[in-house]
Amino acid sequence: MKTLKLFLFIAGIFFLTSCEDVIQVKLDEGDPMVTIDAFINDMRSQQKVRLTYTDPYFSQKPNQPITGATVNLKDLSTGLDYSFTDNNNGDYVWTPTDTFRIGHEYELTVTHQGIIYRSSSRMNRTTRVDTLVSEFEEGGGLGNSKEGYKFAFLGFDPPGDTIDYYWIKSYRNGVFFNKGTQINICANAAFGEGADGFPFITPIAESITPFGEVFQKYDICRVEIHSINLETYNFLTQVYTQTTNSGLFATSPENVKTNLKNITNDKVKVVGWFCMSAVGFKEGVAQ
Amino acid sequence: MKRIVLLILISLVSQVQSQEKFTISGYAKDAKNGESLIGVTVYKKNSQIGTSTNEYGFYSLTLPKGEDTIVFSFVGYKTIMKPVDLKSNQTLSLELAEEGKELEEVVVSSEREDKNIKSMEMSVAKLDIKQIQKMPALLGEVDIIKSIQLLPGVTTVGEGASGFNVRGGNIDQNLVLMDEAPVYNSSHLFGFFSIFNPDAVKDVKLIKGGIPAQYGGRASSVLDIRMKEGNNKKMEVNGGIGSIFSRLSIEAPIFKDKASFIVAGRRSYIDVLAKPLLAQRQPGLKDAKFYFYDLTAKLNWRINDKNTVFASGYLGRDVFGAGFIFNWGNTTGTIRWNHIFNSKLFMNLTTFYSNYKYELGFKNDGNDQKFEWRSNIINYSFKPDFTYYLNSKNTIKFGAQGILYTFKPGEAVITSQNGDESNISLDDQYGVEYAGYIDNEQKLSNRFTLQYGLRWSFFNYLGKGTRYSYRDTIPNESRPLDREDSVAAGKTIAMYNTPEPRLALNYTINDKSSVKLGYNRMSQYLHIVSNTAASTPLDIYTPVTNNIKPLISDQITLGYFRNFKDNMYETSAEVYYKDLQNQLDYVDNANLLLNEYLESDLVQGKGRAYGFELYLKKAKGKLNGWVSYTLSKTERQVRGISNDEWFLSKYDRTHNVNTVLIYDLNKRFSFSANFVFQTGTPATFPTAKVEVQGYVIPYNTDNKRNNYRNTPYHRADVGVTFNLAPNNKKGRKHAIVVSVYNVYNRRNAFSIYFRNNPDYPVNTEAVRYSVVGSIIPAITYNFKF
Repeated sequence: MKTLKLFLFIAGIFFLTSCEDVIQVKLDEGDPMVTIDAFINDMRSQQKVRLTYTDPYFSQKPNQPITGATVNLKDLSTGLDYSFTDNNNGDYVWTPTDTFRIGHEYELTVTHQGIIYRSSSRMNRTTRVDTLVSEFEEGGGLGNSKEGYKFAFLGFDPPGDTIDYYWIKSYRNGVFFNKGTQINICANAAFGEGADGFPFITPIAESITPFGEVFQKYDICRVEIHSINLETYNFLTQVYTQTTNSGLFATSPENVKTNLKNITNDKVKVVGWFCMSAVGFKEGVAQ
Repeated sequence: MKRIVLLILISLVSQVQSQEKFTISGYAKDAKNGESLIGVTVYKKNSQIGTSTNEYGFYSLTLPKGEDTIVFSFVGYKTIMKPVDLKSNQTLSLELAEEGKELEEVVVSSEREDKNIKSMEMSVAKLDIKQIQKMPALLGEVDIIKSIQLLPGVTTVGEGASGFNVRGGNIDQNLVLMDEAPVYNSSHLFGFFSIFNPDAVKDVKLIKGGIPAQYGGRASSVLDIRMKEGNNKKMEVNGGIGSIFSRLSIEAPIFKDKASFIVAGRRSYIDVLAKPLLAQRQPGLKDAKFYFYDLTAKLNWRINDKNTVFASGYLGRDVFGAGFIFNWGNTTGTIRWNHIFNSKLFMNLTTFYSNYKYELGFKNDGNDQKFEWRSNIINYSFKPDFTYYLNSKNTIKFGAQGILYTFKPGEAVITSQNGDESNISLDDQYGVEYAGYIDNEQKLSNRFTLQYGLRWSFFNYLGKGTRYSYRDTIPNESRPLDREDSVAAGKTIAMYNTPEPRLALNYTINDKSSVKLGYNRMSQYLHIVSNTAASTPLDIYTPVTNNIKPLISDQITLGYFRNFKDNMYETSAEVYYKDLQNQLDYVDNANLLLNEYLESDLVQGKGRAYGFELYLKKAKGKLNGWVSYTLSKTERQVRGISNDEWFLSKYDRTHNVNTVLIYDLNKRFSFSANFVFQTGTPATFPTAKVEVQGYVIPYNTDNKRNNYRNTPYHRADVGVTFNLAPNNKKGRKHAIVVSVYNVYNRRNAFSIYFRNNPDYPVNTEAVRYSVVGSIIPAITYNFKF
């Protein structure tokens, strides 16, 4: 859908003088809510769960970390427990001594100030990045693009009875493209249903170089295909929508959902997301 | 209640039995071009007995035997007084000549310009196409929908938004009729221009309340647009060269006074102008397409005094493309037959075809990957309407309508580079809507006129299709599927019917003032599915199903109408209350496109709208125009949304002021100015930020929808029309129209959204998005010969 929005936008600017100005708005300040950010994967690198409090929208500083909580991950298929260590900065970490398994169900339990928050997630299969290709492109033209290298990847969605959902994350020299507009997710090899067993369609394959970005010679591009589930796909769609909700065809703003539950009481609300992902990845050099 | 019915029956019968009477009937036409005139007042001199011509220019008036004078009057035309000697039923068709400017000083005392006082119509706004043409317009393009938005009770979510909202109704609740055929998307270029070519439009009428029984199928209003029939006296060419598009229309007689046609077309040409520039800047864009066009054609043939046939068609498309295809548009075709059975019974039989279609596709030339998607809504309809002019006190209208719908919510195919195809199309949906109505306009006395009617509408949602059953879940979540059953072709999946009573009452206090009361129930069996601020061309329509109920609205309106200074000024004050059932809303993160289980993401709720409208119009004189003010509130309540509380709808505007002024200085110059002020549209603003995976997400901890408002909208426009040949004897006209839109360069907020500062991501900020962010001047050259 985001490609579509972009085209609508481009079509619109041909004709009129639409413009955007930063303005001052006075907003109510909501009470802080516990946020649990738990995207865990099967890569052999340190895994992290981050706990913070929400802050008033215009606070102009990062959200306050939550320390002194306990974070536990349990493999419900084997009964094994993985305990995350409090880094006293909001990060709770675990360095792999074992591998998470595709097809296993995992349960996350966070205990903070006597309240237990819980969620579970199944780790789905992923697919591999077959090749990374880069091509030099001149700048200018529509949208006044920059001159440089653009990467695309080749890969296949494995055919199957159920729909595979992926979050394709890309990095330039180790830095994740972390803007809301740069979220690149797909169902099978395309958007929505269908395209089962297909190579990833061009808009997805090329989005690893986000719109308006380029790589310079010898820059390193890293692509990771994270398996997610339908709920996470919907959550990331919502994050995309809520962080890029502008223009003529903006939708009514809504609160992002959460898959974490306060199992102790109904009073304290929680936000955030828990997802277990298997990852296929590749790196390439721009040249 | 019983007593009233009895009273009506008695008065009906007693009138039938009175003295010997004869009927005089015929057509009223424009002397200049033979166009039939709608709404000409025809009455017996020095009396309250009268009628007016219908949409086809026909009238019928029954009077006692004897000598009389019949007066034909129409604003802007010379009044005709015709002596008649009624000994038998007579036909009297005549032509009215336009009032010349030089005649303006002469006061014609018999002129019946108090129609707004005497007629049953309330909450009705008629726009004079000549007046619209003088108003300052965006990019100099005269636009019917944009002009309608300057009337009381009409709002829009902002510039560039397609459609319009009437008294708290959503854009799909307007029945937009072009020569009796419904139009599903009335916009070019999203919402910047409407699809109606002003050179081909004869009459525009918006009915907001007290809607008569002959109209049905939408919940909030009727916009009845009648196209010109075509000059049947001589060839006429109209056209214009503007900043965005050019127009040309040709109308001519085929057989003088018998048959004529009009063909009118428009095309935008910015793509043609931009082509060399684009090709130079990026070779890949040399095939870029972005244009729109429309073609309106109409043919009429007056076979004899009793039979007239009309055929009209419209074809319009917006086309965008540059490595992708994106186009949409309407096609409509109408054939109508007017038949006069006798001097009292008039029939119009309409059959129409209407097709709204859009296509979207991407193609990768390098590796043959493709994605193609199209959607349609197709209607066929058959609609006989009768008017029986029983006597001078009763006019009975009755008729029926059947509409066959085919909804194609999405045909979509993905093709991979090795040629594999994946078809993700949705099944077509079918429905039949049918309705019958009867309505009587009855003069109870010189002061009281009552119009009462009933429309009964039915809808069958038919197979071949699937009946989906969903389980209940927590509110604001997509409902899980329980079961799917396939239903064979022609078998009913869901069925609804609604009796729709209609009532209007006019109490004429005196020649200058009246009080009117109106009530109507309307039902609507299809919904637009759109959760965006402005409706997009990709929005689909869904029929009612076993999961989606019909939209039902009840509206009551009370108005006071008064004219001043010999009808120089017309004023009205109206209050309304509208109750809406089963308005469509959406669960959070609803997936509305290409979703087989769309119904599971839809929820329905209640709505209410109420308001007060003031209108002052100066109809005559060098300085004319209007001022209107609306105070209103529109709310919704939907389970699971905004903590189940009432919330403001997205098009609620508390205050709405519109001023349109036109000053005709002399034959050469006329000046015009608009001023608009509207309370900002409601908006949902965040109270907190959530951080997940490095994304900073706006969050509303109170979970309230539309808890804030965007800044107020106000804007002024000015225009000058410079007539180059004011004294041309042959009626030729050349004029240059210069207009300036948004004169004082206001940046009105279409929306305010929240984001991280692109350069300092830790900082969050509010951004105002303005669709029009500067002064827009334009120049247009119009001609007629």
